[in-house]
Order: sequence, then structure tokens, then C-alpha cells
Amino acid sequence: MIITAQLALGPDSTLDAVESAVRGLEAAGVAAVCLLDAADTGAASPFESTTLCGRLASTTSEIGLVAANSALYGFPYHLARRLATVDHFSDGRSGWLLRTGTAASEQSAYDWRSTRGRTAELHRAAEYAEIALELWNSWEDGAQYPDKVTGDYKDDSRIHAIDYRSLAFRVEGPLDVPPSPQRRPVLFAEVGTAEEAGYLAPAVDVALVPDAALAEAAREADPTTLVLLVLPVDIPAAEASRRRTEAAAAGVALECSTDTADAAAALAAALGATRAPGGTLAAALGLAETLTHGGRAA
Amino acid sequence: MKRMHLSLNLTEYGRHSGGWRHAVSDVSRIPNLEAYRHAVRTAERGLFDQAFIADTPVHNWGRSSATTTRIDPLEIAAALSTETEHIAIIATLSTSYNEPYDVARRAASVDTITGGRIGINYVASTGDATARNFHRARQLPHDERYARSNEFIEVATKLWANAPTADRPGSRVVHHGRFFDVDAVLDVRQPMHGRPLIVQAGSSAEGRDLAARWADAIYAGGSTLERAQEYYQDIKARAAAYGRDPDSIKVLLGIAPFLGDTAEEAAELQAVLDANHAEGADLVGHLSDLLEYDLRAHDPEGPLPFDLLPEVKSASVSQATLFTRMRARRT
Ligand SMILES: Cc1cc2nc3c(=O)[nH]c(=O)nc-3n(C[C@H](O)[C@H](O)[C@H](O)COP(=O)(O)O)c2cc1C
Repeated sequence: MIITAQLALGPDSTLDAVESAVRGLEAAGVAAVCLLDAADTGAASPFESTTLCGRLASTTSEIGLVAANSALYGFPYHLARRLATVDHFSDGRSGWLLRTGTAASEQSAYDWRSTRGRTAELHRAAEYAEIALELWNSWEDGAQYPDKVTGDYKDDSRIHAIDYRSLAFRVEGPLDVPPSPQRRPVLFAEVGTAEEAGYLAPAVDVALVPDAALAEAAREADPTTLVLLVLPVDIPAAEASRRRTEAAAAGVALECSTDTADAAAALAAALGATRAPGGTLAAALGLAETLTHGGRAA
Repeated sequence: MKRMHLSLNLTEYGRHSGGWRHAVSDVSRIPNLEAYRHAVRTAERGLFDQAFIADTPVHNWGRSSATTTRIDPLEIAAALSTETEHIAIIATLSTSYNEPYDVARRAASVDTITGGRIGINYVASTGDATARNFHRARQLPHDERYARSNEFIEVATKLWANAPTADRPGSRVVHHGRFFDVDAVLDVRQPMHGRPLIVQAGSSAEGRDLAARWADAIYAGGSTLERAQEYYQDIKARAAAYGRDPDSIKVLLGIAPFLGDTAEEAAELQAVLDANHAEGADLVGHLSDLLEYDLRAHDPEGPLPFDLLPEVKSASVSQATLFTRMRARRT
């Protein structure tokens, strides 16, 4: 069964504690760990999710590393570069959890402000992801071929500007990073309402849902999206298994902290956590064949 | 005894743009994390204080420009933190195309990951192409970019000063300025030394002023001894005018050494690298960009038309003046 973990960082999380938690999850067969920082949890912590994934790329070897990174604030170009960097360094184990909420700490910290309600936020998040996907797709295969003899380093004719323009964004591109082992991170989103299912399930590869009804809504919005049921870590394996079957989910995402990561690892092992072979996160989730590489929504 | 500070310009294959074609460079992976690791470990063994990662977040079209892969410097710093114990990483960040809150969060995180071994080289960024990746049609004028830089560092510094620590929660920062409007509590733990080191590399009057006001260390281009001395005195005087102890700013002068056990070996290495760089590359086009004057109509073997060269306004002023001065001395 596909099992991922939602690891919430807390005020007392130390680097050692985070690394040992992630190693434990990796050993238990967990396919991916999503790092949730203060903008997700509301509790200040020592780490920001994406930079922490940069470090974990060097200290883990098999588990997928999913960075929670805003899909509302900041710049899509930077987001695309950061995750391409993590994908290179982790040999294709990167993921992006689209953060589509406005945490209290962020609400009036950035240039952009959320003033037009949830629908406008979700629309912005979907555009943000679309830009990132186009940037990750801006180099054709083979555009990077360092040839010491001829002095050719890359082939500009196979690298393309994206010229993305919308009311909210204008990004010329291309990305200045050569294609990473996985080409792009696997996209995740938490889906908590029917409206979120409608906007986010088609935009991502993996939808994280709290119950059977939203599992159904996510599948309805996009039948190709992998649906994982979010579960607490303090329930028996049989109960977890029953709830997953009831929701017809492809697997489960276990909510834990550095303190409860051991329990999450034990539950994952009891549930028969497996990573499909292939090395990349997409392969571990069985998505390697179906992962698309962007393209503007029609 | 006066100590010397050493900073490495960290790239995969060295700073020379022909470096990647040298026999020892492993280009089987791009970017090459192992090459970065090797370089930073070697620098630490050689007692360098810091390894500096340059950055310009835009694709470089054209053939002559391939020197190193550009990827996010803070993620590189985090990934390299497992390799070393002492050396700091200085990550370049654009103040024109970032937001202080985001930088404050990420740099604070990398500070904890590296055990307090992170600094930021704040650059104003040059060029319209970069602006076009970040929702603008063109860059702001030079003085506006520096006004934004000053305000950027001010806001980031306030956010770090009021960040949560192990003993107390963070406090609110309210800043209503020309470029930034922030009312927020930083939600990532305060860096070990209060804030990451501030590094700067501007050479214009605005650049020097920014450095004098904020910087812990400065990267200086420095072409001749007299110029370097003038620069050094000027920075120290400006720092004093801001009420700072002039000794609190370290001026690091850039050099590009070619290494060998003998002078002949070093010269040979330079010849090999220079040959790698030149072949097939549009050098005249590159130089035209640098000097902001189209040289294509002139004889590539002839002297530079010094009398026709304009005063460089927007591009890399220090590189351009350094180049023309060097050339003038040789001919
Ligand atoms: C050693 C050194 C490193 C630099 N690194 C960068 C860099 O990584 N990114 C960048 O945009 N500019 C970089 N610059 C350019 C400076 O930030 C600055 O823009 C330039 O020296 C021109 O000065 P001015 O901005 O005051 O006109 C660097 C300059 C020097 C001397």
C-alpha cells in the first residue's frame, strides 16, 4: 500500500530529531514525507520546508521529499528553481505540496494580499502551478549536452521561453536550470472542500483527502489523480485499513510530528508500506508513466 | 597579527568559463553536487572562512556564458551543510526580485541547518531579462533598485531581530515603506547570531553606500592597487559617517589565481583554460554587452575603440571599467 507521512515541524524540532524521524519513515517503507512548517501548522519552528528538503536530500536516499511551499505568495520562478534544485540533489525524489492557505503570519507579510475570497485563492494557486509546470518543461530532452570536444554546453534552440501572462502573473522564462532527474516534482495538495477538489485535484498528481466523500469528489474532478486518505497516527492498523477501503483511496497519509514519527513508522510497516522500485518519487507512487509535463490548461 | 579572510567563489568547475572543458571536470551530471561537495571540503581544509555562491535568476542565452549551473543558493547551502563543520556559505539573493519575509524565513532555516554558517550577498540585480521572470517588463532604474535594496535589508533585519527564540515568542514587525508593506511576526526561529551575515558587492556610489550602511563584508572588484586603496578608504569613511566602527566591515578583494607548482605550470593551465573558453564563443558579442557598445563593426584583431566607448550605465560597471583599463595598459 502507498503510505506517505505529513510531518508537522514544531517549536522544539531539532535537526537531529527531524532527520531521525525521516530515516525511521524511510526504513518503514513510507513513499514520501511532506514537511509542514509554521505556515502550515501555525506554530513557529526552526525550519522552513523547502530548505529543509535541500538538507534531507543529502541525508536520505530513498524516501520522497515533499516541500510545502506557498502557491499564493512569492514568485513562481523561484519556486520552480528551488524544487528543481531539490530534485537534482535528491536524484528525482522531490515533491511540492501546494500551500493554498493564508497562514496568519503570512497574511500581511507579502506584496500580494488575499482580498477576494477562497475561489480567487484557488484560481491563483492553479495558475501558480501551471507556471511552474511550464518552467520545468521549458528545456526539451537533450537540450543539455556538455560536449568538451566541441564546446557545446547546451542547445538554445531546444530551450524555450514560456511567456506566461495572466492578470496576476507575467513570467518570461525559460527556467535557468537544466531538467532534473524526475523532470519535475510530484505535485500534492490537501483537499478539504468540494470547491478545493474542483480546483486542485486536476492541478496536482496526488490529492490528500480527509474522508470518503472528498475522495470521491477528487476522483470526480480528475480520475487520474492519486487519492490518499489522511489519517491520524494513533489508530490501529485494522481501523486504518478499513477506512482506506471505505474511501477507495490508493493509500494513506499519516499525520505525525517528530515525537510521533516512530508510531507512524510502526503503523506504516503494519499496513505493508511499499515503495514501487525505480528510484524517483513518481515511480514510488506508481505515477512514472502518467506524470505529465505541464502545458497550459485549455 | 592581522588575520586574512579567504572566500572561495564556489562553482562546479572553477570560475573560469573554460573550466568545464578541462580534463579533470566531471560533466556527466549537471548540476554536479559531488563537484560542489569536493570544492567546499577542499576550501574548508584550506582554512577558507566562506564559500560564496553567485546567482542571477535568468537563463543565459548564447554560447560563451556557460560557467556553472544556476540553482537556488539556499538549497545548495542546505545540501552542502553535511560536508563541512566550519566554513560558511554566502548565498546571493536579489533584493529586486524577492520579498523580505520569504528570505527571512528561508535564511533563518538554513542558519539553523548549518549551525549559524550562512550569509547573504544582497544584490540589486541587473538587466531587463531577469525582471521579465518576475512580473515586470523592465528593471527599475539603478537608484530605485538600490533604494529597494536598502529597504529590503531593513525589513529583513527587523524580522530577524524580532524572530522567536527558544525562550520567547516572536514579536510583530510593522513596516510601511515605499517598497514593502509588512505587518507580521516571523514564524521561523531566530538565526544563531541574531541574523545571517550581510555581504554586498556594489561598486557604484549607491552600492558603496549600501555596503557602508549594512555590510559585514564586501566583495570588491579592485583593478589596480591605487583603485583598491581608494575603494577601501571610501568604504571605511562612509561606514564611519553611518556611525559604524570602520573595522566592522571586511573588504575582500577579488583575485583569479591560476594554480600550479611552478609559474610555468600555472601559465600552462591558464593557456589551456583560455583556449577552452575562446573556441566557438561569441566573444565580440559578449564584450559588446559588457561595454554597452556594439563592437561587431570593428576589427576583432585591432585595438578597442576607446574614444567611442560610452560610459557604462546599467550593466556590470566594475567589470567593464576593469576590462578597458587592463586593455589600455597593455597596448
Ligand atoms: C565578487 C562579486 C560577485 C558578484 N556577484 C553577483 C551575483 O551573484 N549576482 C549579481 O546579480 N551581481 C553580482 N555582482 C555584481 C554586484 O552586485 C554589483 O551589481 C556590481 O558590482 C555593480 O555595482 P553597482 O550595482 O553598484 O552598479 C557581483 C560583484 C562582485 C564584485
